[in-house]
Amino acid sequence: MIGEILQHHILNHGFNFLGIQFPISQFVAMMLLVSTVILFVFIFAAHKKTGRLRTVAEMFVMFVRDDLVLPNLHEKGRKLVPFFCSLFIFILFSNYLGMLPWARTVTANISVTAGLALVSLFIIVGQSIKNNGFWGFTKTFVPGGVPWWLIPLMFPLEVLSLIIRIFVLAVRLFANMTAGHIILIGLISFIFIMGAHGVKDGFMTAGPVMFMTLFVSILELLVAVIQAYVFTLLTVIFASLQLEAH
Amino acid sequence: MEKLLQPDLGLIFWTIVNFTLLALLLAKFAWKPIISAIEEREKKVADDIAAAQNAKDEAKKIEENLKRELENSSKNAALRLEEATKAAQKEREQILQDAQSQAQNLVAHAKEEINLETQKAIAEVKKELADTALLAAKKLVAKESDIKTNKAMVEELLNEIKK
Repeated sequence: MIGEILQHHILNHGFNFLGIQFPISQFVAMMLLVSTVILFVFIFAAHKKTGRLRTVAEMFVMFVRDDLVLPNLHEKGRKLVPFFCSLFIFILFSNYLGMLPWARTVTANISVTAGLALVSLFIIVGQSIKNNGFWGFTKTFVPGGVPWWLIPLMFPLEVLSLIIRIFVLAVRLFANMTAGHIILIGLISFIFIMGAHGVKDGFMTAGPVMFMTLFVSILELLVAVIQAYVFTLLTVIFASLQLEAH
Repeated sequence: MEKLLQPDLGLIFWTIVNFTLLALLLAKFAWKPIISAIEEREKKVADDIAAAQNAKDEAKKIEENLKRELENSSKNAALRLEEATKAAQKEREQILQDAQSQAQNLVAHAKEEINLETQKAIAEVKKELADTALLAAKKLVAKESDIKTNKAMVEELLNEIKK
């Protein structure tokens, strides 16, 4: 039963609104909603010269630029700041909007996180080829000082390492966001399990469970930011490994 | 539950399309204006700091120049004072020397005049003596006096000379 609830919440379904079946899935609709909200908020902030929203937007951009991108990628990463800002904000808004009632957490779906990780991979590979040339890019898979006879072994291992890093990036975000849902559903299920024993038991369990649910939800608010930060930071670090030839 | 781990290629594709479009739109209409505004502000702040530093350096240079000029003026003033003191000393010495030589001249001139006057007086006395001697001789001849008379006359004459 819990599995079914989880699958309903996390897996992709057709999008039905007010009885009308739309030719897009719930997750695509949710992603469009998240993207629209982000576009509205940040384009509005960009066109304002002052105000709190503008200040917050500037602080966010400066945080991504000065604390994530430039310390790892240095001047080479300056052009990638907009991409990392978009990545961070998309994951953050997806995590938060997924916490609203009736909404779906797109980042708790492996396909969405895989899509984001693939975009990161394209950016990392593309930028590495652009900076170092194709030959330079292939040389990034050979660590410096490796004897020539080890290269045939090291090269596929390093390529595999990049793919694994990207795969882990997708799985980490998916697992963390899904874990929150599993805990919440597990906790709420306690009420129904105890309710099956007796209505009184169900009511007795509801109080502590709701308190714990609230605590986990607050924790989720924190996890949403941390996961957006971790995903972006790791992408930056992987990019720095690939952009700088060994 | 295993469905949770099954990737949906369609959703992966739409995620990529959706995120790429979002990233492009945000880059063009949101991040670019914000980043350029931040960079412009940072550049302005850096320029202002550089300008302030330049002004500070300039002020320091001016202060050093003024200090140097002040030192030079003090040295010049001291030099001029010394020169003026020396000139005054020299002039004083010159005046003293002139005064001394003038005094010596005056003394010499006075001595010369005294000598002249003395010689003149002696000459006059001599002339008077000669005249008196002549008168006495005349008187002596005229009276043809005796030795006593002569003697008295000579004594009278001598007394007159002594006077």
